[in-house]
Amino acid sequence: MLETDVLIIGGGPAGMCAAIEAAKLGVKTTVVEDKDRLGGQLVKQTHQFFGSEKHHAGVRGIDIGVKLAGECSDLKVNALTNTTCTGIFDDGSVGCLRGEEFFLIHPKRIVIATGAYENMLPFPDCDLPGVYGAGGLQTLMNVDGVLPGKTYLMVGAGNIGLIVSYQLMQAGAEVVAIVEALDRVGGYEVHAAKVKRMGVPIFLRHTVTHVSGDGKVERATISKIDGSFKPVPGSEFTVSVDAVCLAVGLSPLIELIAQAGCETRYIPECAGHVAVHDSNMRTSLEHIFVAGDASGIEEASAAMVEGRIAGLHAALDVTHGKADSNELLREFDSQLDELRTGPFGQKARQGKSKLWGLKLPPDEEFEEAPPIIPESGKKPVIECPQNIPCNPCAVSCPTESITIGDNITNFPVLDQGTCNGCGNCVAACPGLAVFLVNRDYSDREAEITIPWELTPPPEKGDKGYALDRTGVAICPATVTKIRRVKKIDKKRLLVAFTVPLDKADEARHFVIVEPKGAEKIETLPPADDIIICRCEDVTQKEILDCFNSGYKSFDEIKRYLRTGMGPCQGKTCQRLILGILARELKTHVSELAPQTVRTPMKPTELEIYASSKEIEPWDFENWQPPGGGH
Amino acid sequence: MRKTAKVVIIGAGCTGAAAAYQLAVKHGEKDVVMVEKDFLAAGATGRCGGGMRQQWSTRGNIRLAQRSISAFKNFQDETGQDCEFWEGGYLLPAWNEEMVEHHHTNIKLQNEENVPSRFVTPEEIKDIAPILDTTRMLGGAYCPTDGKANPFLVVKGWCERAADAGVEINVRTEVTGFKTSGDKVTHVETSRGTIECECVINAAGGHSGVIGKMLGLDLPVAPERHQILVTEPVKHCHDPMVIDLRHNIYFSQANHGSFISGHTDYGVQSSFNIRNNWQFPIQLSRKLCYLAPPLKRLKVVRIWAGLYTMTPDAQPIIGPTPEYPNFLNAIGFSGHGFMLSPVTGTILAELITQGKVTVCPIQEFDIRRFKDGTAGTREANVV
Amino acid sequence: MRIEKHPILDFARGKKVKFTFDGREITGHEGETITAALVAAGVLTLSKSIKLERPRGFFCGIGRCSSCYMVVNGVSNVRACVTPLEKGMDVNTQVGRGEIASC
Repeated sequence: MLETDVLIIGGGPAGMCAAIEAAKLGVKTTVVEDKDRLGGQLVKQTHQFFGSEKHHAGVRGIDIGVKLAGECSDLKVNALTNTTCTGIFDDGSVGCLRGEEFFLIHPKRIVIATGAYENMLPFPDCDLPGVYGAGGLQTLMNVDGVLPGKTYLMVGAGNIGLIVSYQLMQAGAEVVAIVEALDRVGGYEVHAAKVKRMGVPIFLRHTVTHVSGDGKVERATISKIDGSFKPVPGSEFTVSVDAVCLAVGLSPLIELIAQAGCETRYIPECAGHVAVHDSNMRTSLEHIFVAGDASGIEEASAAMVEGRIAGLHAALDVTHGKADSNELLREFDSQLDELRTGPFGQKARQGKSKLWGLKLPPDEEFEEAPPIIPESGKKPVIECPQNIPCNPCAVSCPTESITIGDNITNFPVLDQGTCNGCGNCVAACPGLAVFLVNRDYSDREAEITIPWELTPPPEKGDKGYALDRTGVAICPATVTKIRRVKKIDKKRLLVAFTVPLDKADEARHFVIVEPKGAEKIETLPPADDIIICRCEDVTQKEILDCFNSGYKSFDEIKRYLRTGMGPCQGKTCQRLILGILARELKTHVSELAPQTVRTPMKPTELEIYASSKEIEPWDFENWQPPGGGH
Repeated sequence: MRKTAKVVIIGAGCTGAAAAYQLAVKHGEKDVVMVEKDFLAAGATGRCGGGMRQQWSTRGNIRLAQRSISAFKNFQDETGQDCEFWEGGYLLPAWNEEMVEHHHTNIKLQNEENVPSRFVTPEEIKDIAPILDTTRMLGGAYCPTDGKANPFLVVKGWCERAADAGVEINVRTEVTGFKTSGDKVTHVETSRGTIECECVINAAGGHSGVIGKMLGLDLPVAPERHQILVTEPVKHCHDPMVIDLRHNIYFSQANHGSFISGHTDYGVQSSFNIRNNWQFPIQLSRKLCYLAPPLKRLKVVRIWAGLYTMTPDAQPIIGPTPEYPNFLNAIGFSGHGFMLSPVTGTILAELITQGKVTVCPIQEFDIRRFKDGTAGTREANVV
Repeated sequence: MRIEKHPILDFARGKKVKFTFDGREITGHEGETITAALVAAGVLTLSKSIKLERPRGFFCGIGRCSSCYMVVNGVSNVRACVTPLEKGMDVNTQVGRGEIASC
């Protein structure tokens, strides 16, 4: 048994920040993390963060993770890695599983920062080896350094789908296409631009409808979908791929929150059921706080600030407010406001307003970005078309020629007069969206400098092709220079190449070998049913039959078909089944009861429970019923 | 929802479902409305271990169980629903001379009622249940015709056939009160309207005392939390339900392959609390690992709890209430409602349609036994 | 396949060790997960599902789904995606339900 003042469950960005703020107030702080290191999703994030300096803008996720973990260690936070919290009990104790040991933690306050889980997309044979969630694939690729195939179809053009597509290419894989069910790219346009200029087509209003192969994915069928997300017959085509990566959204992971007895509510803008919480991140149970994706899906930058707020309030409870933190709290609140400005912050703004009973803020439209196209000399071209809260281009500029202004979602403005064409902004832009164009390179040629984070990099003198923003080879190009701006980023290269002068506004990528497009092949007939619950092999048809026999709630279907009774406790199937129920009942998921969550959150061996030191060993040879009698 | 019915059944657990089925399908009484505050088998029925045995220490319980098991055996033929009935037997180990004596006494009583139970040696136990560590056992009581079934499928089968016969089943409908006239209950008030009726069955399980209070009755029942755990499934390797009265634990392997096990909480107080505590999995796992060491690497995937509805003698209360003769109780099964449900349904249907019970004597389940001092011995074979 | 060169990441791998998969000898790196070693060797099917015996491969990567339940050193239902590889491990595809050790 371990006593602590503040216990943080989950050592991702929100959890680490909560721990840092709590520990700064001098209270005993413990973090429980089920991986072997702190960092959460940050450990797989090779891209740089947007935002401002206080949100670690321009720093790669992996490096932010290491930095925050270092701060935790400096502040003497007790970090229990390889430890899973499996239940929160009514007597205030928290059950934990670490290796072969089950033990309890007795905290005064708890911050739940368990993050999110990935949504599954059901289609025939979606359970074949070779269909991966983006998060799982990222772990394999960026933590283990292993790829399960060479060619990929990405499903989903939100930020995760776009970022993981780029990461796949960084790892040397080929992304054949990205399909997106909506009629627009959901992620940042700069992330889309990175993959588009490498020749990856993004098919909007398309989805994967089937995969097939001999015991593993070998082909994927893509179909156009109509306004109600139904496949359009006759529009199918099949591509040869080794794997299909699903990046179809995240749901808040609230198992512990629900099991502990906190009130939960379905908020569509928060992407699912979340703990009801106030702006101090306190749940309906006084001693439990929540932070990060578990309180509603947002970017990691917002999760970190939420973590700080939750950690600080939890610690203030313990010290009975014996610390003046008002100024700090105001600062955190204003940082959150900043991150939630603009069209990309809209969902979070609206979701939290719903939770806090505030007036719903109005929808915001994207502004049209003013084009910055220098006409002569060596100047940056900033292709940042959306109101992303971000400013490293301005911060990196030694001549202060790029300005953002007070509102961080403003577009950057370039003063061409003072700009010396140094290229720091090309090295700094987290979105890889700044290019240096030198129209005065020679009479007939322009030199284009692009940010480069791929393997293998070209070498000076290499001859190849320049690609336009859609990945089409438009002209021959020759590499003139490779360099780094180490004080800004140690890894990113700046690759300069020449193109004919009239291609200066089109050339945005360089390849040595001209890329070939995806090969479309004959369409195969799909299997006639869909696995919805992987653990128990339950199909869509069985669920519909059960529903039609009168069992109309998740808990009823669970009892009759065992959906959600397997080791994953419904993490894959619950969302899908609630969706089926909502459709059949012609209602909304928010009206449906989620399943009852049970301890243990992670299957626990009988022997591990049996050998727990939390109860004195028993003498079976001289058996006496334990206290209380029977 | 109907405005009138001859019979209103409160509760869609196994007892209510059995009564509905018996009334409408077997006894021709189709004017029945069932009200359930949650959904079918949402209470104790859906939370229980699903076992059924004839190895009891009182004649009354033995008889009820015997008749019920034969009904479960014929369940699929009668209802068309497979209820996963499995005749794996029940084994009750004996660890000391006192327990050997206890089992011999009970076996004698059971044999008198034609239950084929017998005393088995540790060697025989090893054959019946190879995963048990028999080193310290002196033997045990074993009945091969005891078994188990899936409670959800049982309730589903009964309710579907009852509904086919005309019973109206209202789920998510909570009873809020009653109207009476003299010693008659005339109306049942629910969250979805009032039903005028001639007769009411209280089959509300853990909440049956609450229903009684709405009529001003102080029914001698007390809800008690019982926790239960289930492991991940493995291939079939264990036949009987094991009940260890010394160590206070039962366990069996379900049809699906999971091991299911529970015990009576130490120092449990009567309440409606069905949340789990951290002590339970530790305590139960210790006993399971001691009894069946090969199971120790199995993982627990879920823990839950349900309510036993206890009576002072751990025997059920079945039949009319003296204060309101048309208000019938089928309550207080003290953890054994599921296995007794088929015969309970028959008793209730006979009482309502014939005014008398022929299936078995029911005096010992009369609620008046607690007031007039005729209550018999407490059932000893309870976990 | 293993990623040998990455523009951003450096992979710290444990020492090479041999283990067996369904009787076949495979080389992996000590300390990486069993699934990482298998996927690197091109093994995609880790188990056959519980009822329909459909092939299942790496999926959640966090030990929460049941897709990578394998029989490791005779023990069933081992979550290969979170179990570190050790020298000489005997790893086998699990078909359907596992078995308890002695039955």
